[in-house]
Amino acid sequence: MRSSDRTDNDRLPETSNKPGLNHRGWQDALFSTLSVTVVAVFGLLVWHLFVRIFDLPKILLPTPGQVAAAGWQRREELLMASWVTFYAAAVSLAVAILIGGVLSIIFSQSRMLRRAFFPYVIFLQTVPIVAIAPLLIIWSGYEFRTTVIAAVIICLFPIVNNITTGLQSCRTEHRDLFRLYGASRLQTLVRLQIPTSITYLLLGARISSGLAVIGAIVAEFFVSNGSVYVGLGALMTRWQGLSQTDALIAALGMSTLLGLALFGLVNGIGWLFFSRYTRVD
Amino acid sequence: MYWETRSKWLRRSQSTPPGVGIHPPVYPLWSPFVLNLIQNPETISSPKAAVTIRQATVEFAGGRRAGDRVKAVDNVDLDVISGERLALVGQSGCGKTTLLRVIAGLQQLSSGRCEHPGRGSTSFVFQQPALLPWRRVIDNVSLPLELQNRKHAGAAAKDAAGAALDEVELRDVASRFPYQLSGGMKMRVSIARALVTRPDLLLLDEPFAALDDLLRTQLGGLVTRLWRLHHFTIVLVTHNIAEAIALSDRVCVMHNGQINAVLDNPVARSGDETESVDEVDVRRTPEFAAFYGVVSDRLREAAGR
Amino acid sequence: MALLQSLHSCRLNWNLRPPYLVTTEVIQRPSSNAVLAALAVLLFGTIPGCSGRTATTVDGSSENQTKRVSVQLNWFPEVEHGGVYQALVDGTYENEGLEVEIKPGGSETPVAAELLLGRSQFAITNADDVVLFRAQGAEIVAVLAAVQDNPRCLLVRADSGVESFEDLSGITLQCQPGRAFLPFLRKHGYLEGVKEVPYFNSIAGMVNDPKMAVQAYVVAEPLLARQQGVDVRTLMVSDLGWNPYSSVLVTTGTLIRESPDMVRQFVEATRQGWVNYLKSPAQANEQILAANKHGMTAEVLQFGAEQMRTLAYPEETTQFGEMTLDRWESLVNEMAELKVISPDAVRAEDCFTTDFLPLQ
Repeated sequence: MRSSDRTDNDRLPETSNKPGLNHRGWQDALFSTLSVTVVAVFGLLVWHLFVRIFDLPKILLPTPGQVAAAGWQRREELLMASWVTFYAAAVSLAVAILIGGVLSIIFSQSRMLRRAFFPYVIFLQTVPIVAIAPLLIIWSGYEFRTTVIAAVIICLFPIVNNITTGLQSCRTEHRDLFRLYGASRLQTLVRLQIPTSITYLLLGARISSGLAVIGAIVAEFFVSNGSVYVGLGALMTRWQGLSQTDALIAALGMSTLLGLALFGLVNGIGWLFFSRYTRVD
Repeated sequence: MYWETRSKWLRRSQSTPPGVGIHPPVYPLWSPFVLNLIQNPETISSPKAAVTIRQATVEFAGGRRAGDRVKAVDNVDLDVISGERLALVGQSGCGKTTLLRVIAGLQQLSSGRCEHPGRGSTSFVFQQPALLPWRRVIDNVSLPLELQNRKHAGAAAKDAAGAALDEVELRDVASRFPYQLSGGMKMRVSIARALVTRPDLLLLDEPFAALDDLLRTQLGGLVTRLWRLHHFTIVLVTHNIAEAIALSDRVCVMHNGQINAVLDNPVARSGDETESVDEVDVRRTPEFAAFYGVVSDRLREAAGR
Repeated sequence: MALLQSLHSCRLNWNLRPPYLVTTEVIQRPSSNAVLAALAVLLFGTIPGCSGRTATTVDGSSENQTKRVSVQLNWFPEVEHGGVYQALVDGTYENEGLEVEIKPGGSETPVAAELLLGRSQFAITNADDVVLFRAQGAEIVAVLAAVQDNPRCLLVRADSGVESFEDLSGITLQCQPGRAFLPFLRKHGYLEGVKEVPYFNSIAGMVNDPKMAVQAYVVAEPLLARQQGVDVRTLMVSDLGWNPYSSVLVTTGTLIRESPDMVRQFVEATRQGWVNYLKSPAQANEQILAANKHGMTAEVLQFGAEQMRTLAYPEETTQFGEMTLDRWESLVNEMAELKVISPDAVRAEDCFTTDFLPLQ
């Protein structure tokens, strides 16, 4: 509480971190689609000319056309592997949200626990996933599970961090309201803190959607191989081994699309089921 | 359920003795009893006081150097009489909101005491509507009942919330979300939420500061109507002198955490109290202008000291 | 970990270069189109096709000038690179007027890129890789095949119950994806029921798990495993008919056209190095041991060098380093059948040249 009358400055910012839905006009949408397309076409053209002018062999840098052809030729493999990786990333994200939610709720209930354990959550962020993946294989084996664990480790931090922030970010008036009517801790948590934190959770999940794909692919470099479990990571190492640079770049493009797809999924779920929590009143 | 509660509540307020006329059920402010109480609050502990504050001090860490303490409320004695409307006015930072939060129980006292002899329930209307954006209007209004009655919320709470919405004439927006309402409507929902618990004490913290003038007077009229209907005690914090005069029986001028003066409001008594009075009409009376001068003089005097 | 080790080997590698040898480098750059050239430099560190760091231009008059050459290995230094180390330590390269830098490799060494971008002039790799590179438009040419019989094998534990390739089902196999012998084994049905997992450049996984098999070279890992107390059995992939040349010395077609004399000198010195190495490997093995911090031991190198002898001279009549069109053709056809290259992508006769080998 402050020493004097609260003024406007004391109110928490209501708009920060709340990216709401912009209902732009169709012209605006058309314009942005156009400009993105123009940049893409220009980029591909430069790439193509670069390869042609220097007459680079395909193994060093294939043209966009060669990449597309290589991807198309392997489309079945590529799509199957993308699905495997997408599934791993989505499961990891869901698990991370679950674990992150529980951790954050525990943190929100005790300042002591938060002080004691939060630094270890930060530690998660600094763990080099490449270094920990071989260890995970020792402990967890060559399983789908290991991929999920690695991806969860990499995407847990933004989620815990955001939910923890969200649970502490209730507006002063709302907190006062709950205190005034003698709300219990559980009531405050369920009716105020959790609904407030959903916006933050979605923000964290958006950040983590890209990380989950990265984590899954990196883990697949170590875990998935051959015939049993083939994700994009396995395809990438295989095609690298076969010196098929064009296919490798196609897989790279696919992994980027996966990140976008997961990002879109998170946004879609947020919009469908949680839009009431992301509104500013 | 709602009507039961309401009639019980009415009976209780009617049995509070002795009032002059039917409304309001309080001692006339000019009676020697009350004047004595105001001037020497420690001599008599009045059973009619809704809130009794004695030697209340609230200190905060702050000031220029580390370890400095700032007194937001400095040794304040104040009685809020049951059923009256008390306005706390003063400049920003004078401690009026902190005092209101002390009364609400949202602010711990560093020393002194603050009691509610009536032991009734208290509601608070914030400067912002402070509605939960993810709840529909009706669920926002029923929230206090949910929080108070942990067992049986449900349908009864919904009924009470509906009735409270009726009182602010917003029944038809019950199933909307707050973002679908105008600023004035949100404020009225916020008032309905305060009413739903049938409070004995209604605390208003600059409730209309963010609204335009016309809305401000309309909502002031609404509060007056509700007060006449339900006879609750009102403590209103405002920096707007006109509003303070229009909505109070007494005006308490604060400065630097201390009460500078408690002034009886002559305007409040000038109208016919049984009928709703348009605040705009009140403002045209000579009494209003005179009292406005008195209050602003006291404020200036306090600030100049 | 791998990063640390590669850093380590870089340092060793640095030490390998005799400090008294200082030569100039000729770096050719196109003068036109400076912006694109700058882009290329940014992207690749040098201009492709211009082989920025090739040896000094070779002509008759510069016979006594030292030429700086670097060789990229396809793996951590082991006995399959013995000839190069031998030629370096016994001064054969020096006598030919070559200052040679050996660049140790690892599990993902981009051999083709090293050569095409001129960061190395020569490399040691396998014949199947040559075919893969050529299928991707890289003009890589084999000039000497040190190992006639491919040392590729699978290592299984003696207590695994696996006696032959037919028994592999139920085994977990650590292997590098993208090695062409895997599709070969798969095509013949040997990998059905086998769980393929990535290979971590060591046989450590076998120690605790009797059902674990690893890809290996018969010249090293069997003894390494025995030294760690694991009794193993080797399954030679060459027994099944998969037998590309190994420890193949390769370079680019460009270099062959531009500096045939330098290539001839290097191939000859390396061939000499191999012949000497297979007779007496001790000196080179010392150097290899110093450059390999991946659990290599002197005993394993000694053992490996002996094994190499039979692999390099499978017949009494074998000429060291020889290559035949027949074997290249069957390799190319096999790989096309395995669908790791598209049919008609590679012509066998382009893959190699015996021009730099002594006439039989």
